[in-house]
Amino acid sequence: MSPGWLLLGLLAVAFLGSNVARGRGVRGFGLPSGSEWILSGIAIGPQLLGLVHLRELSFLAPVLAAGLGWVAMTIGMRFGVCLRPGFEEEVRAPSGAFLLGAVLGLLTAVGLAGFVYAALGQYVVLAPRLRLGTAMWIGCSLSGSARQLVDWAKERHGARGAVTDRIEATIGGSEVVALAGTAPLSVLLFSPTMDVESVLLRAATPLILGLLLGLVALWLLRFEMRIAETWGILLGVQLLSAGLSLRAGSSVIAAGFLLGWLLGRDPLAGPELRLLTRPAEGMVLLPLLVVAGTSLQLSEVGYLGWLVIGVVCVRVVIKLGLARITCGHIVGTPSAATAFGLSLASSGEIACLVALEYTLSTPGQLGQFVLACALATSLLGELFGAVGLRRTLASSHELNISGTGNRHCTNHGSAETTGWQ
Amino acid sequence: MTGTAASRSTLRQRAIELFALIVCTCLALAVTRAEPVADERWNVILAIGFLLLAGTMLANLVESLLLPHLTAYIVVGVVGGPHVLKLFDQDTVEVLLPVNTLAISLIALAGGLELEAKILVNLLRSLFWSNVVQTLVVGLATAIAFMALVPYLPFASQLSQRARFAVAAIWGLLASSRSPSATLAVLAQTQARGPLARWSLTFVMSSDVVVVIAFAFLLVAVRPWLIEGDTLSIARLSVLGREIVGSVSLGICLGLALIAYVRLIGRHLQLVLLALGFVVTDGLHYVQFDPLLAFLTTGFVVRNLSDQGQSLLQAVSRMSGIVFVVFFATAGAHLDLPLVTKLWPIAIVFFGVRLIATWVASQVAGRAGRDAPIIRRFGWTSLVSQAGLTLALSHTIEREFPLIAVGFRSLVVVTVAINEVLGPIVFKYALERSCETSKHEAIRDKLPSVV
Repeated sequence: MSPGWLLLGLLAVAFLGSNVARGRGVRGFGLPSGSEWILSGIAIGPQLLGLVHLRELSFLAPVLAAGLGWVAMTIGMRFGVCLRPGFEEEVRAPSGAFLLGAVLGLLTAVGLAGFVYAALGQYVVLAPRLRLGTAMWIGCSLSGSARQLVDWAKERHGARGAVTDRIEATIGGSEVVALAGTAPLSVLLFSPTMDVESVLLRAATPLILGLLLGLVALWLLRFEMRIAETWGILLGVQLLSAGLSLRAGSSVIAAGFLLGWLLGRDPLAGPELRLLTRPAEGMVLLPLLVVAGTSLQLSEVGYLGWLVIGVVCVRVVIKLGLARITCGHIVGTPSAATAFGLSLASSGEIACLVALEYTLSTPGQLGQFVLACALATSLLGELFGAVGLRRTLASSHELNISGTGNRHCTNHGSAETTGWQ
Repeated sequence: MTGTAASRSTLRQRAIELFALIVCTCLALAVTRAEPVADERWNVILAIGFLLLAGTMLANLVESLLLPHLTAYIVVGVVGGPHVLKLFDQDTVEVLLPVNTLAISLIALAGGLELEAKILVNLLRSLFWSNVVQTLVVGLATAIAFMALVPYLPFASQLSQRARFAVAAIWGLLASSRSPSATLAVLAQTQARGPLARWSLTFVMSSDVVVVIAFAFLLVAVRPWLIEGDTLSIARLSVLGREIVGSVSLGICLGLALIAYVRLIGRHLQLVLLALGFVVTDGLHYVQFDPLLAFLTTGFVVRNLSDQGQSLLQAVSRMSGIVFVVFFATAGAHLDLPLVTKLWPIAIVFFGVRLIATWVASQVAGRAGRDAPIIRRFGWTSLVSQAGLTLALSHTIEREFPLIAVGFRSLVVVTVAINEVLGPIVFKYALERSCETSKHEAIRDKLPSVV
């Protein structure tokens, strides 16, 4: 397929994405985690139809890297904010559940990284730094859960209430490990030197870039109200932070996330920017998910395929275990622990995007292995995540009984009044 | 807010923008100096990010000096580019050139969308005389200047007398080309509406079509003078005819398709424009049609055969606001500064001759075409700018006549650079003097999203 056709295909996906995806995920239509986009990517990629090859995707690598940074920035903007059905009402995420989510994410990352580090030693001979870095990257990328699942529950089942907010905050908190953790890990993996000063400086690069450029953007956006200029500033700071991060051998996702986080914290500009960037998120996110699917080449994973299965199983076990411990605090009904654990075991866009960043930077067996782990958890999570969450919320009586939910959304995410409203 | 408080607030805003610009530039400098280039591909993102952010900020700053945004974009490109701060190198600038494809398609589409058949008919007399007189007077004057300056032009002094005449004729026709992109960018910034804005856009668009066609004929005609043993070939003219007819036909089809899309779906026009700009342009190049002519026709069809023109024009304007920053900044980064410093005295002479010839032609054509006084007075100001089209035509010369390629192109680049920087300033000044500019712009709390 020529780059022109590839670009046309991605634009078509973006077109569909902007129609069916609003806010954080695929709402109203399709599967809860949007796995159909990953599957369609796998279908057109070298695994099945072979319409797109990896060398053609490498032509679009700068566009993909910029897209990763953009999605990370929009996620950062909404970090710590719960959106009500219809996405017009914003509330602050409960801080306790949010912190608990971060701890759960960290524990999952450590557990998974430990497993992968030990298992990699059995399968392949790798430099200790690469082995550790890869193990930690997998732990990091798979540490969170599929947040779009909560959007789906709100949209499809009209979920609303304290438990819904707490679950959303817990899942949101667990994302921080994947989004910010890539900054030190990228240095561990991609930095040419290893002296302490250089490593610290490189690890801090996304932080410095994100915060400094975020401040610059905030100063400017306080005065600048014109639409075209606002977009110029937003796109400019995001691309500059992504470009400088890549130049410094650091993570474009971490820089984008920190930049978005800072912009989203501003009480004046934050809500406006969330509203402004919301429709563009699906446009960028869904083509990236398709590309993540297309980038998969199982033949390159080789014998590490067994390890992929191991990673998926270990992750489910860790999530179930953590859910059993925390279910009482978050859901309030300990009997729902298994269902809650299954909902936490889902995995979504962030895992795929973080894995895609690794694959773009490290093509070959390890890159494919990391991507395969992320895609496998996302696809499998689709089977039990939605069921788990529905049961959890049903046990807390936070689902809309009529079941009509809020499927009729306007173009900007405002819902027509239905069901419980 | 009182006048003093407002001006203090504006001053504070400008100070913040200046400080932010310095911070961003220092940050970019620090990282690029500290880190060697590991992978050239990533530099593209850095370059676009810097050009977009710095261009937007500097544009606001130069607004206070009553300069057009375009000047700021070009300056940012020159400063950030391979000759001054070296934030990105020449290879990255070359990689950025596909942005031009998108920009040119938007420019042509917007140009077509602005051309209303009724106005075109009203201006027909004026357009006819302006095209004839401008092309003849400017072409002749600059061709004569070229012949006079041949001793100072190493690439031309070695040619035979016939070849010199041929090159002078090409130079003259190139001087008659204008910049639709610069005209549209200034109009988009100033939101000018009125007889001068309307005439300028209509004339620049029509003149480009005239120049592109005349250029193709001229190349066929002067070929035997520049290439030993070459003869006049009618076959080349038939290729040209096919290109024109094909481009117009395809443009009509695209226009009808766009009308149907806007009427039936009407959303996410930015994505459609991206597809048109990148993918359809590639297809047009493949079948050897002219994208400029095709998109101009598309815009014209949408404007005049439906009532969807305004919504499409709005989408184009919103998108071009961002695309223009990168387009003109890339043009600035593409400038070969060492060459400019070497050839500027000759280029200044050409600039002066072209400027005077344009003014004289404008007076003559204004009388013959019975133009309104405002057009007679200020119409010439929109004809000073030169940019992408002139450079594209010079590329053709380079390809067709390798004998004069390097020297000729260098001279074109330097002359265009001067016209590109000074032209928009003159045009913006004229629009302000004629009271056609507007302050109204879409703001965030009125329009939630551009998508």
